[in-house]
Amino acid sequence: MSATLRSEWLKVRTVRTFLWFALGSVALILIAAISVVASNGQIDTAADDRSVARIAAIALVFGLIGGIVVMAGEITHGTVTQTLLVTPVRERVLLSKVAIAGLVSLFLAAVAELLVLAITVPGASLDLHNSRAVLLGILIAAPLAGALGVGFGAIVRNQGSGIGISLVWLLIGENIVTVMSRSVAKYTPGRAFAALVSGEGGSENLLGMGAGGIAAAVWTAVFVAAGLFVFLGRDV
Amino acid sequence: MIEVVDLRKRYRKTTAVDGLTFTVREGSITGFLGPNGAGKTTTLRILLGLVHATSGKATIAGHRYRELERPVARVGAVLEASNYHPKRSGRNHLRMLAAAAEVPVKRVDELLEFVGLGNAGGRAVGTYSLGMRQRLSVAGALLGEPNLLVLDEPANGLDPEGIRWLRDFLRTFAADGKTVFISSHVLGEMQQLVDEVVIIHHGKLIAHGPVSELTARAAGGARVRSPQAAALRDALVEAGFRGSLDGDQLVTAAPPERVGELAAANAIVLHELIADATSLEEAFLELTGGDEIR
Repeated sequence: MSATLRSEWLKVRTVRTFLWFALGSVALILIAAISVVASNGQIDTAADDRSVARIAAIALVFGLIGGIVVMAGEITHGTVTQTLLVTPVRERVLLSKVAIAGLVSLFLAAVAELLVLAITVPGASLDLHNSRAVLLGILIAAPLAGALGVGFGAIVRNQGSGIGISLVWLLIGENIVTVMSRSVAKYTPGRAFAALVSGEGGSENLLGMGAGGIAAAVWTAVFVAAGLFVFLGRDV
Repeated sequence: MIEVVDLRKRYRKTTAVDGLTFTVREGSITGFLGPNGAGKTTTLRILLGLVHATSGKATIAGHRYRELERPVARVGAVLEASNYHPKRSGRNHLRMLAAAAEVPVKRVDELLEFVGLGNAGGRAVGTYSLGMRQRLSVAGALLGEPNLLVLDEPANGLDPEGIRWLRDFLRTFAADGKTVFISSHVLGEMQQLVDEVVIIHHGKLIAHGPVSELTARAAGGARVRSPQAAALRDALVEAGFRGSLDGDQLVTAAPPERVGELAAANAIVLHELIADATSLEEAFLELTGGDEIR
């Protein structure tokens, strides 16, 4: 397993895709965090603290996309053939990808949080005590997002389609579900992750942080299991 | 070394492999031939655990590929040359495989030199020619120093120099008692290289055996040198075979074993009796009914 993990880590390190993800994540967070400092200058309430800390959750989207690329990118480029010639035990390959995508996503989230803190603590007096639940939630959600991306990538196979479908779902699909039924929408993947990073006890639109974490973990397990099932049965 | 038993692969509406059975002998170079769409690539991919068989089995040294411990140390495979991330360097591609195979990095550099990519190893694979990608595939197949090479159309995209390099390499590889199973559409090249051939058509086996036997079978005749060539021709004609005489040489449509029997029965001395071999390409076309080969 460790050899497969090393190989998967090399795959991430030896292409620039993930560097661009990191830079994209950093750029968006910089813009958002600097905007907060420039517009308000001061954060007044605990809810404001949590809201500003949640800027770092942008990294979760990049973590999800990273997971999709880790899995579907291999299938798109055909390198999965050689991967499976060296490591024909497909479960080992997929689980290594889950681990690496989780780590990459966690790294992106940690960088994002450090950036947000570095800008907003001195610039807008972000209260760490008020925002710590959010920051913890993001660190828990990040590896789950990366792992979910791997599972989804194994199902869709094409990295472009995978990224497109996931963004359309998050931006449009979940809103449609919300319009149809708020109670059901709380349990959709995007809302479950949003609840996990909310740092709050739940509302009409979101589960509480604990329940959101459980829902996010269940969604991740479902996508990884479905991805594994598809990957095991598919001809390459 | 390789055993394929009653192998079948059905897709929704088509049958790619239909009850295929053959073996590949250890220490041989065996060619795998068939017209376009005959099921060669599917068979090789099933053998390598990439495609699931509908039924039957394909094993290497008695094991399915997935069951092999450290498969790269047993089997090296060269499949399509397009299976690369275009932005990753050739060296990093091999490093990534070496890491998974637990092969030291120095072997990567040795192999890049060996396949003639020593100076191009740091370049992105997207900038490689098809021939360079094929060489990189060969390097990847040799990472674990395997005893068996499985190659699917390895000469595709290679220039004449590359083809010669590949032929020399495969001969050297096989000379060490190792096994090569190779599909190719370059029949002239295959005739020079392989000991045996497996020919399939519509997913079924249609011929399997030594190249010399197949080409002789296709031609069906014999060449004879004898000081009594005229007497032998008369005996052949009497037995219902045609024969053309040229000095002490005789060419006949009779199979070699029948010629030998007639010579013995008539006390005719033979100095040479050989099966009249046709080219592998002619034999192939005769066996497959002239379908396009690929």
